[in-house]
Amino acid sequence: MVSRGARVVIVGAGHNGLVAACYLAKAGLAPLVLERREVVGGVAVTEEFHRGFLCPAVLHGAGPLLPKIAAELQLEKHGLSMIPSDVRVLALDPDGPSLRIYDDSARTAMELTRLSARDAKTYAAFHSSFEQLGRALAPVLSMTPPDVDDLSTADYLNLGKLGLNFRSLDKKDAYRLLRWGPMAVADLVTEWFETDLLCATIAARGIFGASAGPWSAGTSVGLLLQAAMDGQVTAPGSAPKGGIGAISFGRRCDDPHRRSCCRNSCKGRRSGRRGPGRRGRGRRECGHFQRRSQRNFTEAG
Amino acid sequence: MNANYDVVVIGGGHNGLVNAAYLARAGKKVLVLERRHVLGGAAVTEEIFPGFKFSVASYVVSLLRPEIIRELDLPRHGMEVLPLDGTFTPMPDGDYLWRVNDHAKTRREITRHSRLDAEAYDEYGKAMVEMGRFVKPILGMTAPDPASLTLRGLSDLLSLARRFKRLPSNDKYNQVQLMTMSAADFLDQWFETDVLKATMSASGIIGTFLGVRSPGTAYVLLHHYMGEIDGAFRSWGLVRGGTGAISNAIAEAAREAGAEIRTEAPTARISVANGQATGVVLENGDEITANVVSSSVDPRLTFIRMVGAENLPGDFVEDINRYKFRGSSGKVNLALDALPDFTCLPGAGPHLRGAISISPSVEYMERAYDDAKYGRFSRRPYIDIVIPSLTDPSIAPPGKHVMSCFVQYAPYHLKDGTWDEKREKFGDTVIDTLAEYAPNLRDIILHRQVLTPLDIERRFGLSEGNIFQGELTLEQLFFLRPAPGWAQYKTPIRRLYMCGSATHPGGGIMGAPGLNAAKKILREWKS
Ligand SMILES: Cc1cc2nc3c(=O)[nH]c(=O)nc-3n(C[C@H](O)[C@H](O)[C@H](O)COP(=O)(O)OP(=O)(O)OC[C@H]3O[C@@H](n4cnc5c(N)ncnc54)[C@H](O)[C@@H]3O)c2cc1C
Ligand SMILES: Cc1cc2nc3c(=O)[nH]c(=O)nc-3n(C[C@H](O)[C@H](O)[C@H](O)COP(=O)(O)OP(=O)(O)OC[C@H]3O[C@@H](n4cnc5c(N)ncnc54)[C@H](O)[C@@H]3O)c2cc1C
Repeated sequence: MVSRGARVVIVGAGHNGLVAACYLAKAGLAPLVLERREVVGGVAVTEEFHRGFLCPAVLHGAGPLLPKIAAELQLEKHGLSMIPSDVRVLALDPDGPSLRIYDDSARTAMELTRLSARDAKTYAAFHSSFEQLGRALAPVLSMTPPDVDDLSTADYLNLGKLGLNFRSLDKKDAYRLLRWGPMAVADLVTEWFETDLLCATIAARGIFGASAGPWSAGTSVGLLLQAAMDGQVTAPGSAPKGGIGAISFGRRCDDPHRRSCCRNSCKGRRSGRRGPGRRGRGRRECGHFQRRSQRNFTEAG
Repeated sequence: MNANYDVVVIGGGHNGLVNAAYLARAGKKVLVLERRHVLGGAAVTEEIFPGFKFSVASYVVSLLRPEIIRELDLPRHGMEVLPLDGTFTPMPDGDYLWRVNDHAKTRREITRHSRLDAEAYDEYGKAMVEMGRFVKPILGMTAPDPASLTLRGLSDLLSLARRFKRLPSNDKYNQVQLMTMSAADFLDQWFETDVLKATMSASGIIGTFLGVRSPGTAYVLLHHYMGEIDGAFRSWGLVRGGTGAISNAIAEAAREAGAEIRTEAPTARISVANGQATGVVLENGDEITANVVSSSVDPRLTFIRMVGAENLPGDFVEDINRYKFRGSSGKVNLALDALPDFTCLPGAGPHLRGAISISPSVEYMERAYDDAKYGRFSRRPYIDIVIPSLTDPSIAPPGKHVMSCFVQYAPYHLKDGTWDEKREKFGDTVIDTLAEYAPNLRDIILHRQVLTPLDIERRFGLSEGNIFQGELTLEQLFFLRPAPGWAQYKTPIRRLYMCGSATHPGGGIMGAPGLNAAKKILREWKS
């Protein structure tokens, strides 16, 4: 395998490339991240699209960043601070009352009583079942997908872990997990709720980024995988201070040797000085990161 | 107390009859109760217009389990399967695609559209047969209950996993794709000719409320590949005398084994005492007692109507209410004075002897579904046609013909109006669509019978007109059919079993639910 101090080139400084670099560097390798653009972050960037206006240029939700990664990379220490919001989604209806969905499912249920007493009751049950399923599925997110041709010991262990999780679900939830996956997310939510607005809002999480409509079979899988991340039926409403790019900019690994490097493959430092967003906190972080990295790169090289 | 019968079977469809035949052969005293005046359920032949005999609902056969044919000796009881040669797909641009059983001919025909596809076609056929072989043993097995595995269930699942492991690598991936992809996406990986993909994808949507681009439809494709006639995979046939002849042959076998069969005997209620079925009450008030009741009608009728929600656990009732029917198909049966003449291939050639498929492009198929999604019948539907009188002249007066058109989509739940108002308009749409390819059709129709999903519900007792007693979608298959925890032909009521298409392995003239349930009942027999 790769020996300590070995150079690993990572193509693309999207947040995944950066996470990989951090972990490799922590393990004593010397990763070099090459980014095509003048900013790091890939899709997770804050850009100044108009003087003084910093905006999440592409994605704007802070995704449910895996808490384990945030902790291990000590992202808070590196300047990532989340602005919490207890409202996850405000759903608007052109002809009727709007609906707020909160982190706290009991509060959402309260809110729902205005729209449907029945839905208010089922929401709590749905939410807790959803949380259970999410917990059972969570290992999927941090495992390397098994090679069905040639299962390794690690694959068996991972699958075993999933199997045990499945067994630990109560019977009703176990069946829900099997049954929900292949369903159209619209069918799933209408089985539970009568309020169209609520159905649509939850279904939206299932079709996010898919070339499929809520009536397409299999879209519930999308929802379940999201559940595995945070056990919630809608996307999170919290955002990082300084815009989404802060997740990428703030992320450096804590290796004392600082072997990790990032090199902008096009314009390098110049863009770091002149690029948009200089005033943004995230941006400064990035410049700092780059300069440091360049130096480290020279050191390591 | 001495019961009148060992087993009462509700419903004289082919599954109820298979169930009865096997139970009678095991020495049980069996009574079959059928609501209608004819046996067969959706596998029925009726003389709708004098001299014209129609396979009113199901019209082709392939899935019927070979062991049933053998063990019940159905040929001796009058069942004869006639070959249905190929599929003819006319196209709006004047071309056509005509696949036949003759391998070399089909290859030449596909080459005309695409050389690459002709090569891929062979490989595809082989791969699907392999996939079918893998899945087939599942048809004969009782679905395990994954949430509380018994030794038997565990060993079934393990042997499935072992067999999966032994599959060659490509087949493994195919299998995973088949379980998850849409028919159109799956076929896109193999072929480039649009009309070929469209026609082939059609078997992926039969009986479902899904489009060819809906994930999960690839599996239904496979479901239709599992049939075999005389050991040859993937061959569909007609039945001499119509599909009712199958049911009649099974009924004969059942009677020979000692079963009693009553028609025009609709069941009103299943009698339950202390959580245990004790018999049935007919609509005329007659009470019949039995040690075991085996129901071949769908779960909504069985549980909500005949048992009553008040006698069942709330969770179970909820699951049954969630079970999806959503019929999406209709049927138009035509009595013809002459044969239709297709513009793209004129004359009464052999292309009329196979299936004729109105599925000219993938987009056409998906648009047909779009209409249904929003509660309308397709303005230009997918139609699967056979003219069985060409192969079996006994079913029509000399020189005349019977044409059977299976139509999708006709959603049971209409957005505007009722099916009683729209029936003829639906019929007209089907004829108009066909006349675009065979203009003489309008002039040769002597009689027409239009069956909307509402008619299918009323006539055959299939809830919401679903042809398979419930959609064949992944969340309603195997250990989830018809309800989680109740996929083993058993029910929350002791001594009440299910044996129809709403149980594993599902719909089609297959007989497997009836057979599997009979085995289950016999295994659990007490007293
Ligand atoms: C419009 C939109 C909205 C979204 N909303 C959300 C959301 O709300 N919540 C959520 O969790 N997810 C959301 N996502 C998804 C999420 O943003 C992405 O899945 C994730 O950011 C991808 O990260 P990545 O590191 O894997 O790839 P990327 O971010 O795509 O990173 C790849 C990097 O490689 C660089 N690169 C490309 N070619 C080269 C080259 N030749 N040489 C060097 N570098 C190269 C690119 O410039 C880029 O920086 C959204 C995505 C989009 C597009
Ligand atoms: C239009 C149409 C086309 C089809 N085409 C094909 C095809 O080409 N090939 C194929 O393989 N499959 C086809 N199928 C599917 C196939 O016909 C069915 O899946 C199969 O016949 C169902 O058999 P069954 O015995 O499970 O149920 P059913 O055939 O539904 O039998 C149930 C029986 O119960 C009776 N019943 C209902 N209520 C009561 C009551 N209260 N008391 C007593 N009896 C009652 C009914 O009258 C019926 O006879 C088609 C179905 C339809 C509707």
